[in-house]
Amino acid sequence: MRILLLLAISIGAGVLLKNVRHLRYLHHTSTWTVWLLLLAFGFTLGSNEAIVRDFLHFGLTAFAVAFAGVAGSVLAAWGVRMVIDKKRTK
Amino acid sequence: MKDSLMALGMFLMGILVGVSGWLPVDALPADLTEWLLYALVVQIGVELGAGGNLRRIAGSFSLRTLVLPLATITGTLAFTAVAGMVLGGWSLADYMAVGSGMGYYSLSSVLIIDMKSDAMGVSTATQLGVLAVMVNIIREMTALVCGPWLARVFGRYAPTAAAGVTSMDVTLPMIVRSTGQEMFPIALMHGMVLEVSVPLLVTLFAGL
Repeated sequence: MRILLLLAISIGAGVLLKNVRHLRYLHHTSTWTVWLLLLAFGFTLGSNEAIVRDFLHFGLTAFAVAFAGVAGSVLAAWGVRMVIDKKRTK
Repeated sequence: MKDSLMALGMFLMGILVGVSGWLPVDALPADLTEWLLYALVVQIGVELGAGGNLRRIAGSFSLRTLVLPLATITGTLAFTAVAGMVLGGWSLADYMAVGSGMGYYSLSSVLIIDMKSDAMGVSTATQLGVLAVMVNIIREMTALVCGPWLARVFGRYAPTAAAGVTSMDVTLPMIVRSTGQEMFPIALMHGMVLEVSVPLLVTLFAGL
């Protein structure tokens, strides 16, 4: 909820600031923010002994179930895209 | 490709530094990831607002946007069932309850432990809950790290589907960045529909 509120406020700020030239650098800064976020996520997970221990115990099963879920949803989404794009090109 | 590799590299480097103990656990502020996420949301929001496409984006909300969350649920459950049958160890319903988390690791694990404790004992139910946390964290991280690659190979809906519930918050900036601003309402709607469906599905499968 907090993220959605922040997003709404930021969109409003973007509308007001759309003539500011420096906004074109946001694309680069957001790329670096994603990378820093992943670095911090990795550190948080890696430094948590309980998570690392559970991971050594359940890791393979967890990976298999997670990848199955991702693969199933991605293939279903690919099917949705094929149907929608086909309808659009007709 | 470069962005995906860089994302994967940063994530793995973070894990390596964390596991190795090179940096003490409290070397970074405890809520650093939260603030970085907020910073990312602000940047994406300002970009969206300044882009001048808001009316077109708002106009793309339609009933058709409900098709994607339904596809995500169907695909996730079907493939989780297959994985469960191959892996064994737990019942098929247990695997389906774990897979139904769709990235919502906190809620799904709590629901699973709560519902399964009577039937299988607190210890075994907790193990299943821990598996649910692991599976759903891996799903979220996979969506974050592989999102741009998934978009290129499987099309613009793929990162949203992979992200599950998190398409409306944690992975939303990545989705907008890798698939374009038009995906913003679809990813938002996708996350909202899944947020409602997760407790229903987890409760359904954990109760079997």
